[in-house]
Amino acid sequence: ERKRFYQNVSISQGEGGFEINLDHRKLKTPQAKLFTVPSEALAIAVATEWDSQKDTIKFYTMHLTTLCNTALDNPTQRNKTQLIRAAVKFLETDTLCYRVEEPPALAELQKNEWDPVVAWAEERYNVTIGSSTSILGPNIPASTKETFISHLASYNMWALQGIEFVITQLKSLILSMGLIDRHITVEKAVLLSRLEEEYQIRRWGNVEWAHDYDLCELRARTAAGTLFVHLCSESSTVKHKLLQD
Amino acid sequence: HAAGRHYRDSPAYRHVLAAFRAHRVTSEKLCRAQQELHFQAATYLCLLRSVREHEALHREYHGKGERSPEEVAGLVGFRLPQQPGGKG
Repeated sequence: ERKRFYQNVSISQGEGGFEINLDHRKLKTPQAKLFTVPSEALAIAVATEWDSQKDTIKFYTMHLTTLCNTALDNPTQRNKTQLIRAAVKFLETDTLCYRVEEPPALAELQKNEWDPVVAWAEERYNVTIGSSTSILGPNIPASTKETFISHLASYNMWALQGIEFVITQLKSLILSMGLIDRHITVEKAVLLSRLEEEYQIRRWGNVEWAHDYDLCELRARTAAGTLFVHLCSESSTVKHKLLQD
Repeated sequence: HAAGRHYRDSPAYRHVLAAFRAHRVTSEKLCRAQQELHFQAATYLCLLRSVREHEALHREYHGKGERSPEEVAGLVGFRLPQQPGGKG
């Protein structure tokens, strides 16, 4: 762990976007590139992460910074097509599509909690997804995958990094789209992703140091990823509805 | 240092406040931008709250347990060789 080595955190606008200043030093990525982000709001949120550190810098709590570093360095060296393919591939093993038959209470819970979200996705994107109790999972039609591939192609590279991140955290493309489309909240998405865990906790009791720890970490990462996607895909100008004063 | 200043002075708070104020003046009943802003604020709140809770749990359960070898030995009724009563 590194000690906090700076007093003041500020943001400034450079050629490549918004930069983070730690005293007089400009923040760099792990690969020593200049840290620049396309959105002012995102820069402010990253600056807030750095300014929130007390004596030591706890990198494991700085999720937005980590996401920006990934977008800037692209350590896995994937292009847009590869990212989209990885994201859509998750549909084949989507949490919401894998159903149990035993115990009946859990099967019922999955049906009641997951069916509506699957139905929402099918309607919103005009696709067939379905669900399955088979170990092979659901049979996703090629046209469904094509629809999601073409939808995700409308996002820029930064937003796509965020989307793929959220999908791997939640283990579900459907839940992630629910979040991106603002159909469900982060808390709900995380709950639905962890439905079986929550069911077991209710049956057998909670173990704070394990369960709550995992829950908070997943919420933090999912919230960061969702915020990251939205901040990277919106336009930064505020459109005033009334005439100028 | 963030701890010394009031949260109302923080850039993040000022930014969120300004964004909400800008969206307040609208004649549309269903303002999509307002809904988007509300969702964003709720998501950011979730992030801040979850990070705080996660860190607290990390400190509580993963930060402690830094016991010295003497303490660990003592837990199971042993003494280290260099301690009185310890076997060399």
